[in-house]
Amino acid sequence: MECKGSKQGAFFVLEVSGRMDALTSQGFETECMNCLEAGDTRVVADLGGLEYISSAGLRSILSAAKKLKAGGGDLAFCGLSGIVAEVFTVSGFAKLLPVYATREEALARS
Amino acid sequence: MPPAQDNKATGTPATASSGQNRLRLPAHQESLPRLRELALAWAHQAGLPNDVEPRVDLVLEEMLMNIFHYAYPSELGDVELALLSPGQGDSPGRLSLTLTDWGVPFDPLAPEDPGLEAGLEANLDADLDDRALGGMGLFLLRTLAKASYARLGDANVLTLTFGA
Repeated sequence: MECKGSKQGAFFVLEVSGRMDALTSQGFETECMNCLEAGDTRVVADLGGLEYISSAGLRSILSAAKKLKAGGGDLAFCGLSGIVAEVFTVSGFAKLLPVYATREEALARS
Repeated sequence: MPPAQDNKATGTPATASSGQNRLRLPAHQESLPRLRELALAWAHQAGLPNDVEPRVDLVLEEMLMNIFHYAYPSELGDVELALLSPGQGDSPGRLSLTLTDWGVPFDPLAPEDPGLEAGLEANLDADLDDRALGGMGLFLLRTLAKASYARLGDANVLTLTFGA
């Protein structure tokens, strides 16, 4: 898994690619915590390059989302496809967290 | 005893495993890449549709992590991945495999607590603050694969079927 971050207006965008599995997923939470520490509490995770996610990835996402929320921010998602979209749907994450089709939409919210 | 010396086996070509119908390795995290690679090679050979192949990947990881974490609380044991009825079994577009461990008896399809299933469903609707993730791997198993479980002697045998 790889995360590339950039500030875009009020949001910090994390471009996540590769695999979010039991061996790698902790890295996502760490990236989000780095954002939080740097004062970027509103994070958009663009999962367009993410090929795979397992429950370990969901765990990392849930934990990150809770911590960002506790810090007064939030965590939104965009660009889901394939198995990633399927796992978000069956796990209920698509209802639990803000999910947008495109990054533009994710950045346009208030 | 453990045949797994090359922990960094992620780069091994999948074709190396084409003729192989089973693989038994120590039940720890380092074995995941090799087991995964073999299962995906079978999925490819079986001609599983592109959107089904990742389910094999996912369900395998969930079940292996379960075994790695819980099957052997004291002494490290093995896990075996096997292609079911190789050569005769499944029609194209379908893959059946088994996961066997010789650890603590555990049926991932039968929650001991009848309330667990209801709890799991309710949990799916819980909001961010209340959401817990226990059991998510088992939920994904039931959602994304056809599975059956048997305790055979001192072994847990989980059979997984993917595809039409």
